Amino acid sequence: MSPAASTCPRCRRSTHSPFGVGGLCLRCAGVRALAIDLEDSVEPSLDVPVPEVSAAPAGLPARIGPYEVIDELGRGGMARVFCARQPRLDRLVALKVLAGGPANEALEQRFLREIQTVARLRHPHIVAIHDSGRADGYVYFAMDYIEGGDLAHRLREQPPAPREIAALLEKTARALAYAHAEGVIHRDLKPSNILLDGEEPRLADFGLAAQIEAGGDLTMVSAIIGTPHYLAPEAVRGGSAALSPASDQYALGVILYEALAGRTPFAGASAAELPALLSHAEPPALRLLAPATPRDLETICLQCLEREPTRRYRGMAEFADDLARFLAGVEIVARPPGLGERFRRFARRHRTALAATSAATLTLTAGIVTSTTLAVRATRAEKRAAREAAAATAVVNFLQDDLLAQAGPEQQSDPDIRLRTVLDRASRSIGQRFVGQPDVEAPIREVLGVTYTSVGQYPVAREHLERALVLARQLYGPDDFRTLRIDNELASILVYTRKLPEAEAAKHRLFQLHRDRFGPDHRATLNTASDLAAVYNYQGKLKEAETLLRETIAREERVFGPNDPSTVNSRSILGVILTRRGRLQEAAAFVEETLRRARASLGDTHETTIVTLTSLAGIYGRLDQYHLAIPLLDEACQSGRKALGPEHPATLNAMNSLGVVYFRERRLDEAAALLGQVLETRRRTLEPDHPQTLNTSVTVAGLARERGQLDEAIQLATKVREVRLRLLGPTNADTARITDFLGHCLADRGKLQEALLRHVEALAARREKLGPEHFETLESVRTVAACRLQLGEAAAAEALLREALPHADQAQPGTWQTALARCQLGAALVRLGRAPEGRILVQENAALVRKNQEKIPALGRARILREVGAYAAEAESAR
Amino acid sequence: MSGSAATPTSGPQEGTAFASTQWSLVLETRSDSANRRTALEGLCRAYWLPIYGYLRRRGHAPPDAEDLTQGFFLYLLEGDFLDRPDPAKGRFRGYLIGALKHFLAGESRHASAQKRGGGAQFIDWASLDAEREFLAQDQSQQDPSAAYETSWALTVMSNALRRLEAEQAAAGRARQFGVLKGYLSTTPTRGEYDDAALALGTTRATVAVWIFRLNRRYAELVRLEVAASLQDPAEVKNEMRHLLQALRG
Repeated sequence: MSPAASTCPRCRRSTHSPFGVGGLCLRCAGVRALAIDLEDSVEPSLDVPVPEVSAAPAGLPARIGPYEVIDELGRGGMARVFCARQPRLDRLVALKVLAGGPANEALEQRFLREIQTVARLRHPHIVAIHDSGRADGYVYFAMDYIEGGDLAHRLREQPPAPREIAALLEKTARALAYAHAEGVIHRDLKPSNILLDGEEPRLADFGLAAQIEAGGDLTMVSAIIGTPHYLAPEAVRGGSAALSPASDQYALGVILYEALAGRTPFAGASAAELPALLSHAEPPALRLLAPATPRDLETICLQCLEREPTRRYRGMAEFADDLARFLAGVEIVARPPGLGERFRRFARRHRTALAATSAATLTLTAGIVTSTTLAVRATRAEKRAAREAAAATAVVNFLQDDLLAQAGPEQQSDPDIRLRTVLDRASRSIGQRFVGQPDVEAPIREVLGVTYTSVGQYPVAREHLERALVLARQLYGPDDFRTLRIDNELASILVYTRKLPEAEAAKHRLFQLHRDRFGPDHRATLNTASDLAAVYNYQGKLKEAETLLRETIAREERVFGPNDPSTVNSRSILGVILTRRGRLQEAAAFVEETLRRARASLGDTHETTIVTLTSLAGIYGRLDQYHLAIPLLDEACQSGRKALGPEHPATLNAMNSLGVVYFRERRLDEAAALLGQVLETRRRTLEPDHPQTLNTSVTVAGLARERGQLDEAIQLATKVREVRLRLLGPTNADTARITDFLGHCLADRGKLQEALLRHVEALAARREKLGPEHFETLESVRTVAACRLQLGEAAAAEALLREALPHADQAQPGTWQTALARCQLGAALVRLGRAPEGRILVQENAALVRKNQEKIPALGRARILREVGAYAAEAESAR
Repeated sequence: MSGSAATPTSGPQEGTAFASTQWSLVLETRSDSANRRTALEGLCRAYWLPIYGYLRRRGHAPPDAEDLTQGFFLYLLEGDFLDRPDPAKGRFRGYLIGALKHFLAGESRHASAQKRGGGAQFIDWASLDAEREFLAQDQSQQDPSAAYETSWALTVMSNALRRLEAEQAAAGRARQFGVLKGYLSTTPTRGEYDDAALALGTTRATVAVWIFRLNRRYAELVRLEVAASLQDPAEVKNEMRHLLQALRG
């Protein structure tokens, strides 16, 4: 019986193996197994040193740092990935190595720093990073080696069923929620970065790909690395600075869409075409591409794909929760976009696209509206699906036949067709068509009302909404969320048209209704609270506004977190209110903090950040610190143009504010250039009658007057006044303001009689609307008085001033304004032959005005001093 | 006789070769319980080789060593020895060698009776090539006690290995195991990765993963095997260190 044992080449002893084949040495295997478990290092414990043998195939590095390279797993533009072994721990890793080329020290440092951050993450669905470093001319990091391939491969080979992908992405979203809470954004989500360990997703490549690139055009970087199709719209516009948790969510939405539909939303578009598609087009309806997609899953997907980050889920956890709800078969939280929202989107596209694009786009749009609306209607309550679907079909038919079809082939000859025109035609054709079909008529009226509101056509908007409200109350009851939505839209019109007491009553009622119905912490409740605070603000009830807003902010900070866009927005509004309460320093500090939060949590180019920049600049402006305001507005304009587009309302607001600051600084040419641009854009993208268009028109008119271009000023002001008279009514404060301004222009032109008419009209409106003590009413009194004095109507001036002065003494005692009024009274008396009394009044009060001239707004100062000088001279000469 | 040991999955000892029962279970169960006897039998069958090796090193000829091993196990199973207090009871390894020495001390007096073992064949020597396995491990320079320790450690490794092979076969990976088991003791070189990948029709990276998993699983099974021989699971690391020492020795 001869010993069967052979000699182990490693320990040079008998292999001790009853399995005496296959080169197994039981002793060495045992040592190794025990060492693995004792977490000893493996190699040094072996008795005999092993000659260095490269495991790597030819063409690959044999070793990188402490790793033996086994194989190359993949290669991209920025990095190579190896399968490698760490002998000391007998561990298998995926080794990612920054692709060669001349070493860029700064780049490498950044790469390694970023890895440090990401390496902190420990989560069962995140691929752990164990180690990183620089060795043998490579910069590398080592992570878990996951064998099962990735989601991209899986989607190609064996697409998962909707429930499977929902379960997979729920886990992925939870991992991302954890990472976001740790302050780490993925930045480069795509199917190939979701590895599969069996059925378990493991997220890889956090933050790295994007970080390698030094900011700038992400679309092009993505085109190099792989694909830009997972980039959120804000990232496409704003570059890597716009990447945020919300852009991660968008990418996950694209992945969900792709898994369900077999293609990304804008598959086929090139990197150059993508930005335009992302800002104007909607993805093809999922259920057209993949009819088996459950409706709720489509709704969840669309919520992630919202163009505006603030309209997506508030965080990954919410997204994950909704997927869990879907999987559990309970009602999801995401709401399919209402018909109104769908149409708003259509309107948005319409404005920019309708004028220029072909009928094909619109046909496609119509198709999208059809399919999604049908889906939407049926989701609400499966039981009533059939009935509601029938109603939805009727709605859609109406929209198609009466609205969208007008832009069809036969209308191609009218490329300038306006949304307004389309709406008017549709409006007219409703007539009595839907009598007896309230469930069809209500949503159509709502859509039309909301759309008219969005283009500033309040009277006709109100007609539609009021009718919709009556129908909704009958159909759904008075406090159903659909009824409340219409109710709230009507209340908002009261705010827009500055029917403030009514608006306050309505918003107050809605706030209470929402609070009782949905609880004090519900987003809808908090939104109505903010609305109500805004109404208080317009009403001058600043204390109430502040109290309510502070309570709302406290709730928002608790419920949504301190850095939620809603919270940040509410804080911005509070900043405005503090400003108006004259607590400018406090307001500045508060909004500075708000801005810091917005920058930190949302990024420098987020819309909310840009809005906050603009409002902080407004406060600095009020503090006359233009040197602080201008850089903020410059930044807001630049970021806005880049991240949101030059036609975005937030960009235009920033440009408008900057124009106003230039105006105040008397940099008139710069102001004119900028404001002209804003006006042109608003006219084109909004409607000529939109309140914001009008506001800019007013500023531009003021600028024209200042530059001596009186005809242009008069022409603009006359137009604005006509619109405001029509839309807001004659006693509205904004109407009064433009009427007053028109009067000034006419006076400058020498048309004093016409000017007087306008000023008297403004005064009457202000007395009625604002009361006799309001500073604008008192200003009107002075204006009318000056005008009458110029026209030689001294007696009328005296009567007016004697009536107004007690109010002035009450509201503005001892100010230059009241002094000016007394000066005017003195001048009237001098004209009326009561020289000594009048002269003394003029002299004393002219001195007071001159003494306080610093407090006169710079813009009107020279004019007022001239006026006072004239009275003084006249009084002197009457001696 | 040769060959049977090389294919353990087909041998009559199949299923009892693994220390699937726990030493702690033996100690906790009442002496008259049938469970205790079954558990102890399982352990004895798994660790016959260190006993046999010790006896051979003490100079007993193979047939005598077989008889004594057999007699010792019967003495353990049928006597009250297990119920006596013993500080070495915590570890089956220590307990067994102590009991063996005690048994041998009394053996001269009861030689004939114990040798026949009442006729019961506890270990089926016919199915084992005991001498071949002994020789495969034997190091002539070792004294009987050191040989016992080395043999014990190698037996632990071998038991775990059989269990690993059975698992792999049950999972339909017998062929993979056949190609890759050698890499439980050594890391493949460049050419070996390629050969294995070619033989198994897969990539080098996949080969690397399979080897990695095989190593991990083997380490786990070794730990389970060690734990099964202890009364207190907290002692596992110490016992493993002891075994590591024994293997290196």
